[in-house]
Amino acid sequence: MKLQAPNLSREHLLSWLHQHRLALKTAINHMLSNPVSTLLTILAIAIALALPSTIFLTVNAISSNLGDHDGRQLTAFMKLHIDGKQLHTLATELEKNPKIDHVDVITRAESLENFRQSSGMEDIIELLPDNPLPAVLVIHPDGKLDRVETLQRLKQQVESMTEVASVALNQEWMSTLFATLHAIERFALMTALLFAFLVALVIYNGLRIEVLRHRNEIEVIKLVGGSDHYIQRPFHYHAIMLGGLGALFAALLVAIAFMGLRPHLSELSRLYGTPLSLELGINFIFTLFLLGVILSLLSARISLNSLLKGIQP
Amino acid sequence: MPPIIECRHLGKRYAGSQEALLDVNLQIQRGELAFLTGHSGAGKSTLLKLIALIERPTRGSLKINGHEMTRLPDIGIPRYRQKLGIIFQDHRLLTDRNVFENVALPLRITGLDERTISRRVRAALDKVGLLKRENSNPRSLSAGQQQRVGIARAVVNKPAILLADEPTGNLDPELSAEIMRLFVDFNQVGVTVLIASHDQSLIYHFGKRIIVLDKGQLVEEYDRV
Repeated sequence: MKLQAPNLSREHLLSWLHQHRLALKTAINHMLSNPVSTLLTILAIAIALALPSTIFLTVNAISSNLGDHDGRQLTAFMKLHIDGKQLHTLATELEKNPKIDHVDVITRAESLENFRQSSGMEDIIELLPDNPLPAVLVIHPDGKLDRVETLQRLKQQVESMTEVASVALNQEWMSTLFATLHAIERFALMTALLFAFLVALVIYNGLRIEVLRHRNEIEVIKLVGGSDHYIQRPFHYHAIMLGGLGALFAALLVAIAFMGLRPHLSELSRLYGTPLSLELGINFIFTLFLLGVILSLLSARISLNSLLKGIQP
Repeated sequence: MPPIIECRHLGKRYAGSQEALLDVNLQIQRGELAFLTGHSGAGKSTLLKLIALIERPTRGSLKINGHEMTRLPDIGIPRYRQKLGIIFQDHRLLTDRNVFENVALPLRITGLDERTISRRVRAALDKVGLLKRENSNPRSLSAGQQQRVGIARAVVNKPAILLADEPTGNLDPELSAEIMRLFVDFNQVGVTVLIASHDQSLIYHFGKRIIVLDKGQLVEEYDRV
């Protein structure tokens, strides 16, 4: 009788694959033999994954859509003597700044025309000897610039230019919006961590019940030379399937939640004058699926090590 | 060649209780058939459990084929047990699968291909006279038949050592003798067999080496040839 190391031949690989196929089959049988318990576990995982996913996707949609809103723009009022050529030169120079996406130019004449149309004071304007309105540069910062401090620095930078009389930034509105979004993002992260722990608990409990149900079988397998890896394999597949199916159900729940949220977001969309779209992309579903599988597998590995230690033939 | 089983000053104390096994010195040679006997609580089952590494000794040395097993890490135990055949009084059959699958279990663990598994399981079932019951559920079998399935499962992996703990405990004398004859048959093809039994009339009948344990100690040893 010799205790030999395993050889890694083709036969060994085929045997390894065969064992995995059997483990998968066993795991499917375990699940099908307890459909109610399996379904409840999958639903618990789905709910635990769906809630933080819904918050995350909603916040993300609001952030990215409102990021383009006019409130993030800077309005630079030029000194009155700045002519059209100087104005366009300045706009071109500003667009070279990586913090700026693009600049809209409004000449003095255009400013006056806009005022005339919006104010309804055509008669009074006709009486004025000169155009009193300055030329304006509407500066649209880069999409990644979403912090008030950074926008403030950009404002100071533009203000320091000799051609510029003053710069306006709706700071109060920006501060409130981004502070709220950051708070919700942090809340989503905390919720995600909490619910990841919940998924781990659900998997642990599901596997604990399965291990207890198969205690006799585990004892016999250990008795006839089954290693811990061999015993754990069907449970790993079980956990992977629970996590994967839970994630797919979670995607379905998020899609249902979005259907309910869309009418409410349309009001927000109207207020900010920007379209807000809640989309559940294939990339997110795939990420959620991977997350569910990895989280379940890790929970299973940790749980089984402690659960199986207590079972000896 | 070293003895296939060698115990030196082997002892076992369970937590919070007396010594279950006390200073046992024993050698079992390759291809030998020996009976362990003694009253209930004498230490027969404990000795078998130590040899199978179901329990770890708390003192002494246990060598299998010259290898010191007390130092074998836990990770090496499954591979060691694949070389053993273990039979219990309560059969330990799995009732959620048929006779064939019960016997095939040790072979599936070692990862053999289906054709080899099928051939070896049928050979083992044929040897114990249960080939026609391969598709039966163990619950539908008599106690004697269940024990024979347990034996087929123990020998299907061609073990070097066969350990049996009270294999005839629930059987009538005729079935007990039949089971014992199976062990003798396996022994005749070179398998080392160690059987714990309190049924002295049965073990005397087979005229093999008898090791008597009492209160955890080896008190007597003789051959009934």
